[in-house]
Amino acid sequence: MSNVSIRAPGLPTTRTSFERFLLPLAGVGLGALIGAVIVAAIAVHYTIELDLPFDQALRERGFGEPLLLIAILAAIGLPLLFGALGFMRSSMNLNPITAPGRFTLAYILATFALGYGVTLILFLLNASAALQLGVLLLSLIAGLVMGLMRLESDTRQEWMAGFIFIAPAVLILLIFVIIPILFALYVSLRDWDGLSPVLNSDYIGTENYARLLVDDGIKQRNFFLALKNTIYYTLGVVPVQTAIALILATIANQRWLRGRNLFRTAFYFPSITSSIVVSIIFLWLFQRNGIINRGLDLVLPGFEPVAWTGNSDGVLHNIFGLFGISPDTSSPAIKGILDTEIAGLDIWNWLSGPSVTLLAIMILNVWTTIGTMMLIFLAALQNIPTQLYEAASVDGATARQQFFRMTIPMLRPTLYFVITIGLIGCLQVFDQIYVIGGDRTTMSVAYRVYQSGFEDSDMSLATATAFILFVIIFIFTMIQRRITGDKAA
Amino acid sequence: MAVAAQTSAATSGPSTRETLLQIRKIVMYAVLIAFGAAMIFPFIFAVSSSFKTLPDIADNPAGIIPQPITTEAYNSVLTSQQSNFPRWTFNSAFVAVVVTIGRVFFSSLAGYALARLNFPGKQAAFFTFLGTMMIPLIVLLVPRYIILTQLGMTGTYQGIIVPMLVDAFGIFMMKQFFESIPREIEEAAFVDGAGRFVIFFRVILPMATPALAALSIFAFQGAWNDFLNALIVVISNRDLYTLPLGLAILRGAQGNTLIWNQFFAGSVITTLPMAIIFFAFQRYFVEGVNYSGLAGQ
Repeated sequence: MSNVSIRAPGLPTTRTSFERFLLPLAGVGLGALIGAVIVAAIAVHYTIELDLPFDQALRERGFGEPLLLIAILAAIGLPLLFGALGFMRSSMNLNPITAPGRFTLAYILATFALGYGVTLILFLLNASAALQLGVLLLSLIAGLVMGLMRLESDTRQEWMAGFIFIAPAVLILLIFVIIPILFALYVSLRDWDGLSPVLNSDYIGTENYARLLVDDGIKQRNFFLALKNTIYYTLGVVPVQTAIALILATIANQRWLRGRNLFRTAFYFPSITSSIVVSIIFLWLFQRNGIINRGLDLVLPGFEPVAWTGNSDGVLHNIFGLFGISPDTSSPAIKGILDTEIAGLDIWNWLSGPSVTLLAIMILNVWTTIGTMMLIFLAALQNIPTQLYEAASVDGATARQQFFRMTIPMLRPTLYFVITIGLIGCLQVFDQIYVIGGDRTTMSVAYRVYQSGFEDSDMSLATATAFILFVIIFIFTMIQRRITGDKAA
Repeated sequence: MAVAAQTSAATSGPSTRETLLQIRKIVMYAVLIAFGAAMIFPFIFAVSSSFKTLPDIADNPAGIIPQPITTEAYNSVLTSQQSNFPRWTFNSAFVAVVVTIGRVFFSSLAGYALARLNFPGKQAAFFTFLGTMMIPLIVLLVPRYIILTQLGMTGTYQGIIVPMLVDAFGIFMMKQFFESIPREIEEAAFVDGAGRFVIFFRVILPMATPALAALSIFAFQGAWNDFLNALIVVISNRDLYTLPLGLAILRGAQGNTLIWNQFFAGSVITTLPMAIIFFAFQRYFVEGVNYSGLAGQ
């Protein structure tokens, strides 16, 4: 094999004549690649927006059209320019042993340059688009194979193994995550019902986002209602679940504790259960004559059964009501302020808190998640050496001081992790709403995405809503990272 | 509260301090037992209600022993025309098993490549995986449905299975594990002339059994309990419902007058396989959570 001669490190590579011109050719290839992307974008513009095939446009309109002029300059000029640059930078290290990555890339680009030349000729000869694309693709593959052949066999073997090992994961994530997210961005800028071909829909820019965020109307009102519910939900659930999980983990970490495994099993069990099953059980527990109301009746004398499901009253509205505060009893001036609408909801609505039904779902969420979070805290606590606590006790630190001055700071990264997964989970709440709620007062942003897309057939509004949710999740995560700090990132 | 007791204990005499410590322990046990009961009792109610008659559930919801004990709910659920629990159970099992095998296999391949192999594009792949972890499923809901439609995969098993075959979390978990294996082991095998693939399958993978077990449990749990993914893919084909989807759709169809004992029978059928696996492999559940917790550090 040819690479026998280049195995000994330090020796210069024996070069084929093709490789002597590797750098300029690679320059041409790079220019061709960029040029091809520009041409493709312009071609897509002509075919889709103007309904005029690209080559026909080129023949009919020629150089007069600025866009077509740009296309021709990009297709011919860029390869020449980059090729010339390649000639000038001939000192670049393209040794297959010391720079195998750069060498292979140059090889691929160089063969692409040749393939590109053939394609240009084919285009002038009016060959089919499939043939042209085939030649381009083939030249890329040929470059990869030939480049790899020139490498040391160890390097080649490692690369091949790497490519093959990573390929299934990359392929599936590409098809089902990356392409969908780009496609979603595209759809969110159009007015598409999900039924007709997407290319037939109108491009409306940021109109969907405006309808959700700023334009007065039912879409804005629905979105902010869902947002209000989701924010109350998250702000209610995350601190409670984190605090309870941390307290339980601290107790479960005490050395004198017996039956630790039993408790751990009990706490974790809800986490392994289907969210749908758990929601059905809670739906039943929270019925008007269900166990929760009966239990509260036993504990609190004179307790009035609460209608937990289908109850649209805001929790804070009810609490304010206990103190006689409500818009109807307020003076006209205050009532006027409370009735002022912000983003489609009046101020009183914003202040009224989550609905009673949503509160039931919040309790359910806390109940299901504390098990996992407790286990995560427990694992982190067990990593803290007990000698530290012993030393602190000797120095006279109280349990409270130990907890706040030692445990919490040492748990900081774990705390960050737990709060973040809690936030992300809460902001996306869907399953529980699907089973228990689903009406306006339990509407979450995630449920709104589903509803717009699959019930109202407005795929564009659904994707725009989803992107806003994505941004909110992202911002929350970043704020969280700032607050809990340095090391966590 | 228990912490406060300790604070005052530090300033008191030794005997009061002893008693306060005892009280503190009792309070802590009480907290754990109260929460433990709150975790477990809903399930006990559900199981017992699944063996009750409807009037018994209405009159005596908190009664643990059904009066009378009957399997009527199970009989009607398993033979009903409206639902198809035997088929749904098979679907759930089939989807969960295939997803688990695929996810474990692909995650360990990619995890090993990231941990040990050098190749161009590795950094790009790493950041791609990391980036996909940040994208919530809800954002992918609509476009993924559209792509599955384009590929003709809606209303099919592969439509549920294939998108779940890879997730970045599993890849990073395996990467972390492989990085903890000493390099010398591979180098020894390499000197002996074994190729990369042989080393991975014969030497590395057998050493990864604990991580593989933990990941399998995670993957199985995720696939078995999945609802949202199945909802958009197979809603049109009742024969392909998984158990959670079937339950949720039945609940929607029955509105506010639910036949509770049948729902609890369905819930028990949905939970039982997962519960059995949980009790059999509990160690790996804990290990899996530890891995995910450590990933956050």
